[in-house]
Amino acid sequence: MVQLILVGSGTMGREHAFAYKRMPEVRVNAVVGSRASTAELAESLQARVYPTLEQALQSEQSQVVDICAPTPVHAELIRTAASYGKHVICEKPMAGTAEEAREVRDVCERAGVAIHIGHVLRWFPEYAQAKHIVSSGQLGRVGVVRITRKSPYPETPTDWYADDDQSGGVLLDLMIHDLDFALWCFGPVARVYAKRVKSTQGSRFDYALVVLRHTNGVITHVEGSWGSPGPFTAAYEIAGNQGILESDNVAATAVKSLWRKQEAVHSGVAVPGTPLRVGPFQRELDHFIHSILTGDPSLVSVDDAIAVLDVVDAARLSAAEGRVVTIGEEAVR
Amino acid sequence: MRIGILGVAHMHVVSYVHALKNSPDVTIVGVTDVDHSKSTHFSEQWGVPQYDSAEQLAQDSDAVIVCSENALHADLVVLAAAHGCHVLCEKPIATTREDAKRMLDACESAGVIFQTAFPMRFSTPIVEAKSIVDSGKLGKIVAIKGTNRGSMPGGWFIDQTLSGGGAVLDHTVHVVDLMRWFLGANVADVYAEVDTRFHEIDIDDCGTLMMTFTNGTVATLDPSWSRAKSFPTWGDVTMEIIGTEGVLTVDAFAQHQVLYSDTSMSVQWPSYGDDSDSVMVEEFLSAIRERRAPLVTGWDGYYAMEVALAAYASTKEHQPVSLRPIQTS
Repeated sequence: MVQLILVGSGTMGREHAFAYKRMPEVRVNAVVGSRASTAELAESLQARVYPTLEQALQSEQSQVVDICAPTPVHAELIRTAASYGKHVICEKPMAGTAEEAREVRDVCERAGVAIHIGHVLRWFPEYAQAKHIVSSGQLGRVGVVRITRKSPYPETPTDWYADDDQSGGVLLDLMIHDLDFALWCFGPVARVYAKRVKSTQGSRFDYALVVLRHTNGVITHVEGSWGSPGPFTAAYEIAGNQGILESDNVAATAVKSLWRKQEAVHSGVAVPGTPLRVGPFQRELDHFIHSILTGDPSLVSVDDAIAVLDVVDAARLSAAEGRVVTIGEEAVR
Repeated sequence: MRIGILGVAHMHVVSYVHALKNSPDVTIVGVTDVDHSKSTHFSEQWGVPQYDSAEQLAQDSDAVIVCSENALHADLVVLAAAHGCHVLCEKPIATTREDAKRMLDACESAGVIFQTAFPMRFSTPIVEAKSIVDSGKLGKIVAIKGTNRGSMPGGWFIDQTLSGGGAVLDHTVHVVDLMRWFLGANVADVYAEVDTRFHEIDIDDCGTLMMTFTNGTVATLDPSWSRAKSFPTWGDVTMEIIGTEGVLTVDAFAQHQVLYSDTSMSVQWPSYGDDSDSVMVEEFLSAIRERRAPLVTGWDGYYAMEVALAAYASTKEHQPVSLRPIQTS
């Protein structure tokens, strides 16, 4: 039985809680936060509420802290958990920048605690299967890859997504999934060239196009969009010299409802879904808990979580300065 | 109107001849090619006279359609202009800026029409998409994502001395031309990653371009010969146009059925969309009859070709390349 403190009761807090309710080996003792949603979520888990992580750590038994709070507080919460000797599960991104992530990694290493960053796309079956097909060699030598992710503009009570300094914008918050997928399937990236357009007036959007050249020669084109009209879209095409693999969540929608009366427009944060007996978040958290209990290596290593931030940092720099960024040049500087 | 066919190397020549045959008051004067066996074969297949001499054919024609290998376009177009022939020239119009300028100058001096063969300007879905863009309903166009994927054509296309380049030269030009047309702007700079990764050939077969237009729009383009042999069709032409007020997607070849055939043990996409080639040829003939500039000119061909050449320069240095502003006549 693993005892866990959950930080956050927003979209991700609820998503993780949903999984934990189906994982009998995990007992959520406490939920940290001070919103109405905190108490609600805690009650559904039969857990206690604390306004801060420190207070929860001081009052509750726990081996693991799961951080589902906004990006800007990830690093500090991870440090807090590590200082109490707790293993950490934390939603992506590990931190706001690769540099910060490296500092956090060092802190956890010294504290002797495990750290698991929630790059959950690796457990979405259409992405996990793509990795498998690519690795199996069925596509031959991969040449050109196109990946896209489009979401309604994420809206929350504090509107923190709209603040680049907090969320990192579409490049960090949304596209990190696909950049991690590209690294996972096609290996390290040599250079990055990105363009970004955003509008904060009227119909808000944050849109970016990124070209990656991997060290093994693969060329990957990634599109990320907040504020696209239409349904949430997650798609890719992987073209190799022996075959092409494509996937499109909209085309692969298993259950579709159309109502005669128009529904009110939802606000909130879009999380893709597809009917599965065991969802990707549960698979991911199962995997992390198992790794914590057994010491077996995780599908997502800390280095993976840092490597993708190197690419995100490069893309943000490239877009801001209008130039090609070589991975590792910042370290060289 | 007397039309001569200069070169039969490009596969589109068949559909152009088809269109000409269906045009009233058009006579196909003849066909020629540097490879006489090819032009003879074509002549027999299509019942048009075979000429050994391009000069002679130009002399006998009012207008020509140039479908030779890319590197041979320039001399043929200059020759045609010298004989007062209007010109419809396959893309890319040339393989070097110098050749392209020669052709443009020759046609301008001779006062003849120079149309670049960009059939996508006449694709019904593309034209409809343009009208939506022109309506202004999309707001400001902030980005365009384009693709013109295809299959490796082989033959002279993969011989650098004849084609001037591989997939990037072959497939950048159509969609760059559409983007220029839609935006009313030119490409300011291009960054490209170009490589050979799909076929065992000595020329580029894939790439991805990222462009900035003079009006600020950013665009990407995939011109790769990346369609698998088992793919149900030859390739695609698509654009996703991102505006401040909406997103427009156009798939020029979406109008197809899906055929699962046990006879051929394959899946095919039989197309039922309009034929753009015939509309393009009709525009050429109309421009001649009406003594006006065609919708898509030699300069449009030049600007598109320039982007492809800049893409090659970019991938060598792994840096974006700026395009020099050019004076239009």
